Amino acid sequence: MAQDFIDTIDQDIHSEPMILQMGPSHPATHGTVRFTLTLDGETIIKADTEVGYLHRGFEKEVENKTWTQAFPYTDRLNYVSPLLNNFGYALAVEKLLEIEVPDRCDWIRTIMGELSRLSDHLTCLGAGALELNAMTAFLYAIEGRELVWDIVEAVTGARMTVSYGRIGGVKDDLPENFGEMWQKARARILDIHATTHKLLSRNRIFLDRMEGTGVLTPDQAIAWGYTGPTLRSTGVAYDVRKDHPYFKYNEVDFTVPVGTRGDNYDRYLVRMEELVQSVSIIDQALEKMEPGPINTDDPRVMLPEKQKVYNSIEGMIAHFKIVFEGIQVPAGEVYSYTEGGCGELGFYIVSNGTGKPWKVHVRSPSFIHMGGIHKLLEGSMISDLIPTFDTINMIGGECDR
Amino acid sequence: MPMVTVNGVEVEVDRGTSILQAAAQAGFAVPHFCYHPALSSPANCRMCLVEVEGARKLLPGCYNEVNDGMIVHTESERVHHARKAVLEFILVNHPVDCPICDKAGECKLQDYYFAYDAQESRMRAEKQHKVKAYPIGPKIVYDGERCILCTRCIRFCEEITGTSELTLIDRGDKTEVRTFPGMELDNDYSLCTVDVCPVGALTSRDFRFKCRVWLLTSTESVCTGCEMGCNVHLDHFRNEVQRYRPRYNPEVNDYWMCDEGRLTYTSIHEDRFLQPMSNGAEVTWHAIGQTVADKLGRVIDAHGASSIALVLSPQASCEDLYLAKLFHESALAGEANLYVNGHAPGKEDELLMRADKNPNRRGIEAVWAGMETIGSFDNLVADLDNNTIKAVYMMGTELPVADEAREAFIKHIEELELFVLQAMHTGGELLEHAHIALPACSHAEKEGTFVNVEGLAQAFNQAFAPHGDSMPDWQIFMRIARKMGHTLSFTFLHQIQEKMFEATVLKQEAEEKARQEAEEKARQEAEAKAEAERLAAEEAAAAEAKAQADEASDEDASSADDAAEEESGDGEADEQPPAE
Repeated sequence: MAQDFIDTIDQDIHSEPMILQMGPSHPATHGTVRFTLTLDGETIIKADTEVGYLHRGFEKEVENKTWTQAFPYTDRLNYVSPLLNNFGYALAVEKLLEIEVPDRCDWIRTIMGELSRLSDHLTCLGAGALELNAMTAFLYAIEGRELVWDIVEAVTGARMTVSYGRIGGVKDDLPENFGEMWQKARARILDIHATTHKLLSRNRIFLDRMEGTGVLTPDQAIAWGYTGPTLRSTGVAYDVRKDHPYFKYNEVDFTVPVGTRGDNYDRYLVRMEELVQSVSIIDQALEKMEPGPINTDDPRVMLPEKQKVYNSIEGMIAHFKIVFEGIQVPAGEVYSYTEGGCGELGFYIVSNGTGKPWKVHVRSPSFIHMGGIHKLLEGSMISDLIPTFDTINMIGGECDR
Repeated sequence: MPMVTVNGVEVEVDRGTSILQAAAQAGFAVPHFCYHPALSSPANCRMCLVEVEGARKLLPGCYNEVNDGMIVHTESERVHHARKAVLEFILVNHPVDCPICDKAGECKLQDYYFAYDAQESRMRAEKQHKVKAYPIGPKIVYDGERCILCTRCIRFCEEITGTSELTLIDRGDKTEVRTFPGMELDNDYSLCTVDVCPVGALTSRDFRFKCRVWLLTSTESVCTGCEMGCNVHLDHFRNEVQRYRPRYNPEVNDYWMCDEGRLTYTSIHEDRFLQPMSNGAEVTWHAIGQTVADKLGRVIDAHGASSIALVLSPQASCEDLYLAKLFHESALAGEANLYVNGHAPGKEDELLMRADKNPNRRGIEAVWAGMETIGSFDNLVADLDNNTIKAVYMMGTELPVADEAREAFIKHIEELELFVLQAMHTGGELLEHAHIALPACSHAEKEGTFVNVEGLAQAFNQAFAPHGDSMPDWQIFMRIARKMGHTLSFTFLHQIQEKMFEATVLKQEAEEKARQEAEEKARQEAEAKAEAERLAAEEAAAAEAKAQADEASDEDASSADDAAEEESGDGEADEQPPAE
């Protein structure tokens, strides 16, 4: 295709395609990625995507850590929704250990996961608007995200690097005033949601930039392994929470919004609707959850209480073994997948029966999205790259690992 | 041989095998505290209880021998229940010591609790308090509270060393391990009791509070304490050796090693020099190579290579020694005099300690195919006295002489035209008097081979990179030889290992050939002798026959022709093999 363009250009008017380096640090792309664009005027005729600027060697790093010590590293995958990574990883290890977590833990994971999704979508929508010069919408969205992060901070103690997940449970129970905090934040977030609709959804400039750009067909999306809002915008109603329920998603009522045209505007609308669905899931969860234990009672997985560690040899030994040798995960391999912020977040884990992972592979949706993004860009205007790259929502930490 | 079924797996084992060993052969580990493969089985810990079909009670697996057709369950509910009970019982009085216990991390009690018990304590009473940090011997500290009374240490002292210092005193939950009155746990192998102790009751004073065991990396190595070459785990942390532990090898040291050897690891880090030196000034390897070459060249020009003494170290590996041999043959024209230094002989016993305190004297023998061309240290001193040696190139600082003899030797060294020291230690005055000092590295910092007293070549592995600028002796020899115009090209150790014993191999081949030739010769001689005897016998017989024939011809002339024919036929008959 690119060659055809070049041939045509050469024949008609004597001009040459221009090579433009966009990124890796570009003010209008949130995410560290480099595009080498070949331009015919303002039309992109070829886009080369180069990822890897945020590579930390996550997968190799955790091979030298115990299963538990991997949590802080998962925080830094999709750093806008770290809790989803925490829980996704914990779920994979629990699958290999064949242990169940208590109901309350599942509810907490559902709630905190949906809060993270709110933060992820709000960031994506706000930043997208910002990059199209809609500073006002961005400030509203980020205000909403701050409200979410305040709650996250109250629960986990940190805003981004939460390390809240544990194998067989979570770090702590929700604080007592969680319901109140949520009610306050919830009202404001729904307000912001309505305001954003007013500001953007029927905004002529916004529509011109979003509608009909970055178009993706369902076949393409499936062929390239796209998931999450990007896939759903094309009309394919695949959501891991619905199709392969985990945590408590089969006990709450929610719909999976889908688009029809697979363009940037549809992806925007899908995310907007998912905000509402997430709020509804959290409401239902808070209603249904009951007090109870938050951690598994398996002594080979859970650390004993400090009281027992310091006062009984049994607790001391258990603490010692889990901390210094790690949780002994039986040999085997497992693929476990959850709905992350931008799509199916999968952990493929191999254990050789020791306290440290033999191999951890992350199926990060962003990386897979980056594999086909050049097809969305080629043939479009250079200015369309901005909304397309935004609604695909590439997160460098997750993509480059 | 008896057939046993363990957890559904049938195995055929030797008569007299214990259930525990039979289970191990079937692939099932049975937990145990008091059982040790090299010691007797008192079956007092009750940890190895297994279920045997037909037996009313659970049986201790370490003590009971198998019968033909025995059906054993090591993982049944009853067994698990018993193990839980045993562990709960042992832990009743166990102190919360893990954070301050040297054994934590390699403690069987920790392992088994987590693997088989993992339940909370039901103990509500105060724990029984016993003696803490009791100095049971000069090298060992005993902790009565941690002790689970398995008696492994007591049996070790009875059955392996035969010194019997230890026993149990008092009864019930007041029982403790103690020495007999007037004794202390002080034998040449006492630190092995720390190894056999399944918990942290006996701890080595040397290793106490030095390093947490989960930080250690273990490298398979060989002890350099004497020519026995006990196999060891060389445990190190951050480029420093923290301890030796014996490594099981039934051909050499079984499960044990002596205390003296165990503590030789300290020499790896003590008294080192880590930078090449020329007349006391630290220089680089780049600079020192040519200096050595020039100085050796001047000595050779002035007095000939035969005025140089190359002193070999029995502490060096076979690879190092082989390069020393090549260095001697090329750079020193094969004319320099060879000597050997090394530690003076020391204590010897019938278990593992050998008198020669050097790990590789047999290696020198193997590389040079005998010690005929190599002088002793006494020879070196004598030659120095005679003033025939002008320069000494010495590997290692271990000298078999002390006090006055050593001072006399140092005095000789002072008077030399050139003294090159290639060693890991400063050796006190030796480094001061060295015109050239080349830092070699220890056996922990390189790979290599030692040949032990029984002629067994044993490999040792590298634990960490050489300290400072030191390097293996073989590389130093290669460097110096290259500067002297002789290229010795070895990149990998295996290239040396293929060749290092070739002198011995050639010698053995030559001996074999000579032996075969000698045998052949002896056989031929024996044949020739037999032949000659047979000929002589036949001749005698023929002569007799002739004499009889003559007599006959005298009697009957008509038979004379026949007799003549018979006589001529004798020549042909000789060709025939003898009747027997």
